[in-house]
Amino acid sequence: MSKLVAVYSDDRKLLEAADQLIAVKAPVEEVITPFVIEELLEKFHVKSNIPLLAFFYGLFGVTSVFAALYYTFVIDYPLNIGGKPNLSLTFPVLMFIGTVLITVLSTVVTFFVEAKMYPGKEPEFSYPGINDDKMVILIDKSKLTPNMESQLRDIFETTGAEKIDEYHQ
Amino acid sequence: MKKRFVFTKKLKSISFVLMLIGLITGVLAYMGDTHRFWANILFSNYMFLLLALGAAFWMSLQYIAEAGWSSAFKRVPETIASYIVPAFVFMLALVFFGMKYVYPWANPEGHIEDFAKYPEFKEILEVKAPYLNKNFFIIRTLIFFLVWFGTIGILRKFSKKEDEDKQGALKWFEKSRFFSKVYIFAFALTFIFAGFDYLMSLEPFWYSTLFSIKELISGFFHASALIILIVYFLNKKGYFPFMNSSHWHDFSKYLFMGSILFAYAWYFQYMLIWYGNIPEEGEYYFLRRFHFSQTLFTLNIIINFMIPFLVLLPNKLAKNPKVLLIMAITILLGFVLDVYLSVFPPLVHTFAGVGEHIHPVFGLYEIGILLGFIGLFMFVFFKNLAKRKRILPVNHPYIEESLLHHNAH
Repeated sequence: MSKLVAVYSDDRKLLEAADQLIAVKAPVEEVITPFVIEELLEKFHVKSNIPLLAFFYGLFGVTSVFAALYYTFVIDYPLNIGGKPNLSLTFPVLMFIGTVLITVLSTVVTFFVEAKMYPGKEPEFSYPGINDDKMVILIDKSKLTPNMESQLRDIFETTGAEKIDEYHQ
Repeated sequence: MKKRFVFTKKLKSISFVLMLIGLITGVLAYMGDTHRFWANILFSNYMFLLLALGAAFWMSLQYIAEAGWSSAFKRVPETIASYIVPAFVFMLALVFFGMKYVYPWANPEGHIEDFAKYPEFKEILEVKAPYLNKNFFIIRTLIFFLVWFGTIGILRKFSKKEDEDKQGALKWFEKSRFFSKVYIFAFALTFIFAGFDYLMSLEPFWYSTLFSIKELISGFFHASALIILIVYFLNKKGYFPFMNSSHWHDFSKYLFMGSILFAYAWYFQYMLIWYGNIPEEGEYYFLRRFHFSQTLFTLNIIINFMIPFLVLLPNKLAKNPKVLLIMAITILLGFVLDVYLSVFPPLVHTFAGVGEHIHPVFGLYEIGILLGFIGLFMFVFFKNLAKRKRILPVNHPYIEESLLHHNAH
């Protein structure tokens, strides 16, 4: 599988190129940047379901921590601590901390699952400078129509790409 | 784009009608029940004083963070803060004429029966007398307002200078940034004592070091709700035509964050006192929960935390100005409830006598005087806003950023 690679080092030029690519409906496979460019996500209509999932993880965290506390302190081993009720007002502290822990860990796991990443995975793509300050647009060549490639190369050149390259796997 | 705020006749007459209602009910209350009259003056005036100070805190925060998006709305918190002038007048009236009706420590003669029943009360008051006495209370009130007038006045002065000075606007911005830090420091330091004096000394037998922090957080949170309400109104009238969903979203973040902060402050004081389980500390919550009203006590945390937290959680609702308006009004009603629960239970308690079961009072006097104060606040706010030549800051370094503000998502 071969890919067309355009290397940028300025995010404004990259955004300009993204506008033109969207206008010609280019098959953009991936854009790799060293920092989050939120306008890019908006332009390509990339939406994440992680915020919604995180809310449900939070709900799950609250109820499960409460259930665990209720089971230990009220049902299984009720202790008389200074005559205070077993269903204690200090529960929210532990519920809060437990909820944060459960939500964060589940969100990280979800992120790895959605990105299909796991420890020891072989890199799908690598290019010099990609871990440094370079931004890269990848285009799947197999989906290109014959005269489209020269059009895309034109776009990259006019928007000021540092380098236009091909990548073979 | 409209340049200058116009204080229309309609607004003026609304504020005058509200003030008239307040005046009439005030006079009726003074003739009918002097205790309740002064309690209401403290209740309403303290609320708007806290909102004014909280709004100045909000503005200082924008300076310190060098926030660009909010610079176009700078006039709103700045003008809300101008309410401290009438607040000073009412506090002085309270201190000079109403102190003995409201604060039990200022009126030992009125509590001779209580002292007979509970002799330790007298002892506690004698121990606290070096701090809680009339003269020192007056001096403290003067110091607080002097500090607040000074710091807020300097910020307003710099803001005016910035508008006039074309070349050196940045210099005034830098100075405002420095004095915002001074204001926050001075406000925190003085308000810890002010909260102690004005509200906590209603129950001189009780104290909590967390009380003023909770009030301070509540002031910041509810002042951002008031700012949203006013910005919504001015936007409706066409003064902020550049506003988009990004501005609303950033405003809603303050409500969302504030609701969590408020819940935290509300909970830490309650939980620590509950856990400590010392009778003289627990008395505060015991009075409110079991002798006053369990419903209102629970409603406080639901209105101020649960509703804004759940409603402002989805992205789409947080950007919707109408939802934000409803939330801002709800949260301000929550503020009325919160201050009501601070001020009224001990006062009703004193009227009723120690240990008796009491019922919440909220009648014509409370509503009328509150409406009067709302009218006064409207009048002061719009009058001061109309004084400024332009509703948008002129030479503010971040004004362009605010006009073109756009967040992704």
